[in-house]
Amino acid sequence: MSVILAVDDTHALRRMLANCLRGAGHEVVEAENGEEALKKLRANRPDMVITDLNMPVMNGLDFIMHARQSPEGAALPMLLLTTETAQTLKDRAREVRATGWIAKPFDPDQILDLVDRLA
Amino acid sequence: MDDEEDYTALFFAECDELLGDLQEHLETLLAGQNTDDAEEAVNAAFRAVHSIKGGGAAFGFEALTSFAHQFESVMDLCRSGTLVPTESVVQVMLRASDAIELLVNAARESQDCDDPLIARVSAELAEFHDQPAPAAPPVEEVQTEPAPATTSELTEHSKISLIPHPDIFASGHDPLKILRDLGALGAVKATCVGTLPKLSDLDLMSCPLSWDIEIDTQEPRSAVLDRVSLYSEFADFERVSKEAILPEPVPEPPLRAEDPSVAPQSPPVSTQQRRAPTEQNARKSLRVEVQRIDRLVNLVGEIVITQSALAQRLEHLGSQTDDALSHAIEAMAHQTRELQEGVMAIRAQPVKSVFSRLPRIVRDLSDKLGKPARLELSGEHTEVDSTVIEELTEPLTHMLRNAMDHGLEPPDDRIAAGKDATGLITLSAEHRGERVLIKLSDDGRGIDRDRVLAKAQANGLVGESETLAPHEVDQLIFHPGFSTAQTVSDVSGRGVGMDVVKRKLQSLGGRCVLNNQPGKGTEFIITLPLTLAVLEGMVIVSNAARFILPLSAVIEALRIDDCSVEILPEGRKILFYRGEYLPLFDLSDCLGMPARDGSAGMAIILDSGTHGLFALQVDDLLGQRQVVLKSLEANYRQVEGVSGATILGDGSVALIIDIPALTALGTAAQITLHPKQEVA
Repeated sequence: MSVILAVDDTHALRRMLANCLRGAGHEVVEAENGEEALKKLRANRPDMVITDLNMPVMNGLDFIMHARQSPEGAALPMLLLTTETAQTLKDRAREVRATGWIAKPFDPDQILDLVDRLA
Repeated sequence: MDDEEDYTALFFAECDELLGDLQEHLETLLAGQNTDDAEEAVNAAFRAVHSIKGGGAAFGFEALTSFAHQFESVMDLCRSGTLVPTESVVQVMLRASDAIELLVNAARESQDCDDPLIARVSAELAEFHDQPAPAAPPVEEVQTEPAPATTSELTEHSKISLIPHPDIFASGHDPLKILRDLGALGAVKATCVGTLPKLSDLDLMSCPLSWDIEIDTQEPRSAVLDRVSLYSEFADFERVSKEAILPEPVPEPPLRAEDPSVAPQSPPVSTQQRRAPTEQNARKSLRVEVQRIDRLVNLVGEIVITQSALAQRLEHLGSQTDDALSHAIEAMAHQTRELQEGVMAIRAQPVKSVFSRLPRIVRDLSDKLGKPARLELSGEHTEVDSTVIEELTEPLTHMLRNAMDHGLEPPDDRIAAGKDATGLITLSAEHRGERVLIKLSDDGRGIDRDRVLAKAQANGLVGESETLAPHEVDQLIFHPGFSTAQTVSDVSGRGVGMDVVKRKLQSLGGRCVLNNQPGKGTEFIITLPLTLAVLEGMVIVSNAARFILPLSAVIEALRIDDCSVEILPEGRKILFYRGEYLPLFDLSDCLGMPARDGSAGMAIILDSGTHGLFALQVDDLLGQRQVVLKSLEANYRQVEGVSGATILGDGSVALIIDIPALTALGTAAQITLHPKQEVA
C-alpha cells in the first residue's frame, strides 16, 4: 500500500479523495495548497501525489514544478486533478512534468486504478 | 502514414517469400519418408502460414486472416499428432496454399477474392476437424465477408517495443512500473535493449534502455491500447512485429473502414485500417536465384583484375599518357569498387539463418546428455556474404556439440562447483573492421590441460620430456585425430574434432582462437572475412617474388633503415616501434625461402589479431590493390603461411600471406635458425 499526498483547497473534495484512497488501504497525507504540500512532501516522503489545479497561495502547476526540483519529487508520480480539459492546460501540465491528469468529477475506481499502476 | 504503406509493401514481399517456403515445405512433406524431415516440414509450413496470418491480421485483411487461421489449425493437428499428414492430407494443404496465394494477391490489389477454390478448400480443411475445435471458425462463416468473431477466444500475441522518452523519470513514470502494468494483460516477456553507460557517466534521470515486449493476452487489442495510452506521452510504443495480432471481433467492419473518425485513431501499437497499397509499393524486393548473383560476383571479380591491368599498363607508359586518360582510369577504379560493393551487398545475409538452427540442437542434446543448457544468441542480424554463411553451419554445429558434450559438466558437478545447474552457452556475432567476429563460449569446465597433454603424449603428438606452455597445450585440440572423449559418443567424440573445424575455417579465410579457462569455461573466437571473393591487399616483394598482405592487418609500413632493430641474445630480432618492442620476422625466413641480404628493405607493422602486433621484414612495397581471391588449395595444395593466391594485373600469380599463421612460422623460423631455445 502506498502513501499518497492529496492536495486540494476544497475541504470536502480533499476528504472525498482521502476517503476513497484510505478505503483501499492507502495512507493519505493531506495538504491545502501547494506551499503546504511542498513541506509535507519533504516531511512525509509520499509514493505519489494527487493535486488540485486551482488553489490559493500556490497552484498545482507551480507546486509540481517546484516539487520536481527537489530530490523527493524528482521522479515522483504526480497527478493533476482538474475540471479543465483545455489543450493549453495539458501542454502546461506536460511542461512542468506532471505524470498525468484526472478530470473532475473523478471516478473513485479510476483513481484507485491509477494509483495501483503508477505508485 | 508513408511508413505504414511501406510496411504493407514489406508484408506482401514477405508473403511472397513465405508462400514460396510453404510450397517447398509441403513438397518436402509429400516426398518425405524420414519422419524427422516431415516433422520439421510441418513445423516450417505452419510457421509460414502463421506469419501470413499474423501480418494479414495486423493489416486488416480479414478474409486472408481467417483462411490462414483455418489452414494453420489443420497443420496444428498434424503437429500435435492428431492428424497424420498422409498424401491426401498434404494434397489438400497444397490446394490450401494455392488458395492462400489467391487471397494474398486479392489483398494486395485491395480486392475481395470470390474464387470458388477458396470455399472448396475451406470445406476440405474443415473436414479434418472431427468436431469443430473451439479455435477454428466454422466453414460457413469463413465464406462470408466479415471476419468471424470466434478468433477472439485465442490468446493474442503482441510484440511491441517500449522506448522511454528522455524525461520519463522526471515525469514520475518508471519503465519497470509500465512493464509490471502490462502484466495485468497477460504473460509479458520483456527483453532489454541497449547498454548502460559507465557508472560515472550514468544520468540517473534519463533512461538509456528500451525494451522489446511480447504480450500473450486474451484481452482485446483495444485493452492493450488503453493500457498503453497512459504512458504514450512519456514513451514510444512501437509495434515491432506484425506477428499474430488477431483481429478483434468487429460486428460491422465495412462501416469502420468508412468512418474516418474511428479508423485513424489507433496509435502505432496496432494498425487496424485496411490499406490500399499502390502498385509501386507492392513489390519492393525481388527474389533472385543465387546462381545469377554468383555469376555477377565472378564477373565483377574479372573486371577488377582487368581494371588493375589497365592501370598498370598506364603506369608503364609513364609520362607519355595524358591526364584525361589517367583520370578516366582512376574514375573507373572508383566505380569498379562501388560496383563490387553493391554486388557483394546483394549476397549479404544476416547470420541469423545459421544461428536460428542452433537452439534446437542445444535442446535436443540437452535431453540426450541430461545436461540442462541455455543458448544465448546475440548479433544475429550481422550481415555476412551468403557463401560464408553456408559454410559456417557445419563448424558451428560441431563446436556447439563439443561445448555441450565436453564443455558443460553434468548438473551435479556444476552445483558442486558453485555454478548454476543449467549450463550457459553464448553465441554472438559482430562486425570487426572488414571481418566478422563470432564468439562461442560456454561456462563449463574448460579444457583439462593435464588430460590433453597425457592424451597427446599417448598418441605420440608430444614427446614425454617436452614441456609446453599452457596455450600450446590448448592448441593440441586442433591437432588432427585428437579427441579426449573417454567414450566415443554419438554426440561429438568421433576423433574428428576441432582439426576439421579449424581446417574448414581456414579454408574460409577464417581463424579460430581458443581461450581456455579451466574450471570456468571455454571460449572460441572465430574471425571470418565478410566475403570470400575479394580482398584489399598490399603488394610487397620478398626474394624477387610478389606477395599480398591483407590490408586489414597492415598498421604501418616503415623503412627499415629508419628503425632501430635489436638482436636479442637468443638471436630473435626485435624492432622498436612507437615505444614498444615488436618481434621482427623476415618473410623469406618464415616461408623457408633462401636466405638473403637482410639489411635493407621495409618493415611492415602487422596486427596478428591474436598475438598483438609484429613487424615483417620485406624487400620492397609496391602498392595497394584489390585482389580477387583464388584458392591455392583447389589448384595446388595447402601451403602453411599462405591463405590463397591471386592473379595480378600483368597476369602473374601472387601468394596471399596468412598473417596469423605467419606469427607461428616466424617464431619457429627464428628458433631453428638460432637454436638457443628459450621461448618466453
